[in-house]
Amino acid sequence: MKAIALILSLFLALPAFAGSRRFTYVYEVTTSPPGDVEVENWITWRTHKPGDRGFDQVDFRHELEFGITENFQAAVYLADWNYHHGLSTGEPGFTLSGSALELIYNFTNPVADPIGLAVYQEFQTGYRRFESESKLLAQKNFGKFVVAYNATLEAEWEGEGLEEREGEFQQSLGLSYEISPRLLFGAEFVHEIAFPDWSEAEPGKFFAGPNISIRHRNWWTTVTALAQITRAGDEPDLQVRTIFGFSF
Amino acid sequence: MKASFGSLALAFLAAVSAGCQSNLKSAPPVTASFIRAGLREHADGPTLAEGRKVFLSRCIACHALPEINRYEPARIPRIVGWMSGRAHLSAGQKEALTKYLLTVRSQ
Repeated sequence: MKAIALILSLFLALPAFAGSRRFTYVYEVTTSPPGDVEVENWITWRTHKPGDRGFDQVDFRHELEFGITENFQAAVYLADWNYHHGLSTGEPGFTLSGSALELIYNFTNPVADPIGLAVYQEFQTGYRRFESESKLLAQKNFGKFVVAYNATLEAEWEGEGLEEREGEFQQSLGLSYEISPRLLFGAEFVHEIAFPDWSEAEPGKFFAGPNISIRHRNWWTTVTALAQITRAGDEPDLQVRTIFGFSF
Repeated sequence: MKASFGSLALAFLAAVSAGCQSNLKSAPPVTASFIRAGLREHADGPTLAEGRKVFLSRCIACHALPEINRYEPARIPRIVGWMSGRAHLSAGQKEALTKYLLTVRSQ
């Protein structure tokens, strides 16, 4: 028992060396320092839709992130792909969604300024598909406690001539507490409203759940489990996202 | 559902306003008296200001700002040296941060 206590105390006392993410659905306003290169691998498991009990999908994302200047970072999503299974997905199998470019510019500091603000822009392209995602990122740090908010507008064009259009407004909130620099706990909340064909809004969908972030030297991992609070038939009841980051 | 539309934004604003009284005890501003204290560390005003800027921007990417008074002055340069690699600090930034933290510690 003493050995376990010693290992645990060492684990909690050692400093972390990674500019890691506290959240997996919510983005923070801080950007990577210039010269930093980081690999992030995302795995998101979605399961059990109210309208399709046998639904399972695992999404993968492989990202390379670069700190460009003090306030600007860029990332390339080398590949977004998934394995899906269920009545609503047709034949079980793999799908490659595409690749993306992500840019984040930070305006204000979440500690020194009244509120930290940044803007985010992502362009994703794939086979007969183009997507634009714009976010306003806000964050405030209160010592070891961090609260972050994102407002996202997403536009998607699909089909042979990209004639199918869809929009979505999403807002997300993250709360995180630093138990030690290497162990953080928190919660995330996501609210989505889809606009099929940019016409009438669908009923909103709401998700909430806890998260945990572990950091060690130049790697980190963060896991969030989100449960659907609403009962939208086309959305999963449970989704678990893990991001594993490694910094060079 | 309309109520939940603004609920997340309101929750964020409530949290921010509730915490407005939080201050920057860990990172005091570079005032005239602080600069005078910095002379003992052979630091001038611009160096201390640069050190504070680095402290507030680079360090928070990984962890909350620590209470500097908890650390022995002799340990501070070692800790900064240890973390400066991950934070991609230049030699000048590392020196400015060390001098700023030592000045904070001496207050």
